[in-house]
Amino acid sequence: MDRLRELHPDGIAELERTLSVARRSTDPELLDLCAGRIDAMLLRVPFEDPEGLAPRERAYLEFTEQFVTSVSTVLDAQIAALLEHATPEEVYEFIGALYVLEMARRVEIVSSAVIA
Amino acid sequence: MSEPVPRITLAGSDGGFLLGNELDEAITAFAAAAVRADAVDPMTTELVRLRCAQVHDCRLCGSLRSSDALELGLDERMTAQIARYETSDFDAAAIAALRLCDAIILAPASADPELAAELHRHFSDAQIAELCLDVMKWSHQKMLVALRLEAPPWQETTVLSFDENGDPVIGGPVDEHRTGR
Repeated sequence: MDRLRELHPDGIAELERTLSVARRSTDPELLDLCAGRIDAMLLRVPFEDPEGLAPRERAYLEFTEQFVTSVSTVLDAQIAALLEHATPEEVYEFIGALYVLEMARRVEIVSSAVIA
Repeated sequence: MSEPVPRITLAGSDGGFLLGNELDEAITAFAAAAVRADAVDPMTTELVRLRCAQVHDCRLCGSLRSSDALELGLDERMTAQIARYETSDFDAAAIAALRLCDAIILAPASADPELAAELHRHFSDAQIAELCLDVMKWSHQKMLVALRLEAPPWQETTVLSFDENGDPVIGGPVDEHRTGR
C-alpha cells in the first residue's frame, strides 16, 4: 500500500482506519480464518478446510467463499446459516468487516501489479 | 422473477441502509475521501461505478446516475453498453478503466504488465490509484447485496451527486434533470 499512500494519502489513511475498525468489530479469530480463505482464493492458491472446524466456522467460511466468488448469488440459506450462530447485528458487522478486508486485498493485489 | 427481500432485520437501524455503527462510520469516511479525489473525469468514474453496480447486482447503485456524467452526455444507450464494454463504442481510456475495474472485482490475480501498460497509456499513477479506491468504494454494496438491504426507496432512475465533503446527495428523477424541470 506504500505507493498508493503516496498517490492517494487521504484515501489510504481512511482505508487503514477502516481496516483497523473492521478488525476489532467482529470475532478476530473468525475474521483471520476467513481472511486466509480470501487470500487463497484471490491469489489462486489451493486451499482446504483446516481439520476440526466447528459448524459456526464452517458456515462462515462457506459464506466467505460465496462472497468472494459472487455476492449476487448468495443464498438465503447461507445467511440463515450465519444467523444460527449470531445475532442479525453481529452478522451485519461481520459482513461489513469482510467487505473491508476483501476489497482492500483486491485493491492491494491489483494496484501492486499496475502501478510502479 | 420476484424482487429479493431483506435477509435480516436490524434492531438499531434507522430505516436507512446502514446500522450506523463505528464500522459504518469508518466506511463512510473512507468513501467520502475516495469521492473527493477528482483526477479522473466524471464520465469514466460513472462508467466504473455502474460496472460495479452491474457485477454486484446492486439495485440501489443501478438506479442512480451521476449528475456530472449526465452533464457530460451520459445516457441510457451508454449505460446499456457497460455490460458488453469490450465491444462498445467507448473510447480506449474508458475501456482500460473498466478492465481495471473487472480485474479488481472479478480476478485480481489476472492483473498483469499488459493491463499496466494499457492503463498508463491513458492515466497517470495518481488517476489509477483513484480508480482503484473508487472500485473499493463502489463495492461497499457487496455488504448490502449479501443481505439484500439495497433496494432503492424510489421507483425512477435518480440523480446522484456529492457535496464538498464527498457525502452523497440524492436528487430527483433523471428525466426531470434532463428536461431541466
